[in-house]
Amino acid sequence: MFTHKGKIYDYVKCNNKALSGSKNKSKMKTRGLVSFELLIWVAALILLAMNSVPEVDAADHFSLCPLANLGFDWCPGCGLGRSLSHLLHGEVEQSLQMHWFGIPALMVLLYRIFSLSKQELVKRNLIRKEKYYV
Amino acid sequence: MFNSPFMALPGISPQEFSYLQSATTGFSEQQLRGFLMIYGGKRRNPDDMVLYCILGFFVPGLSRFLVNQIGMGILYFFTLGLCFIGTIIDLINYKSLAFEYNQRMVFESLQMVKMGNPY
Repeated sequence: MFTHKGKIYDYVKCNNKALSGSKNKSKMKTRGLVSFELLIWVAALILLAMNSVPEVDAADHFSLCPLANLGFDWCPGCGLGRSLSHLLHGEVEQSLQMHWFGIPALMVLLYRIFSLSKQELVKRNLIRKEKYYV
Repeated sequence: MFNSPFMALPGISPQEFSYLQSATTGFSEQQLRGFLMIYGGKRRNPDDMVLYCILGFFVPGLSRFLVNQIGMGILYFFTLGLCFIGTIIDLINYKSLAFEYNQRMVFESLQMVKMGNPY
């Protein structure tokens, strides 16, 4: 998203922040960790890739889904997790059987992870560069 | 800081304030006014984002559509907000969603201001 100019503005911002006080240095480090959303999506995909492929219906296995736990039998997203899991195990046909939106969903999530980590990288580079100027 | 015209923006955070200040360094009074007019129309108030996120329980993906993430919006819409889990994530994460969108809008408005004033 950021072109060269955007980077300069970001960079100026970081410099300003650093100049405004040395007290918040430790705070900046913690903020410079990983964004919450990125963490969630990556963790979700890793967990889906690691778990054993579920064969059963939604009704009779343990589920995190708040809707299923509330007792709803059906929701438009039901089976998407299993679909993604199959997909990450390389079983495309079963994935399509579970939920047709599995492949687009994986693409959307990967794109979101990509753009979030790009932002993260830009931010980190700026913070690293900033050390030379303080 | 309190005299700054940016303080008139509703729900502005220190982070956004410093971002705006560094983005508009060296602007003339007129340019700044133009920038504020454009940006004020484009930006999303983080406080409003919470309400949109809560509304997202009834219209899944609303918050994602409002911050121009069409792909995520469609994904949320067709899966009831990833079975409400995604909607709850948005509700927690509303500030960075709004700030991410606002950063893009700052950049767009900067370009518009520069196009509008050829000097």
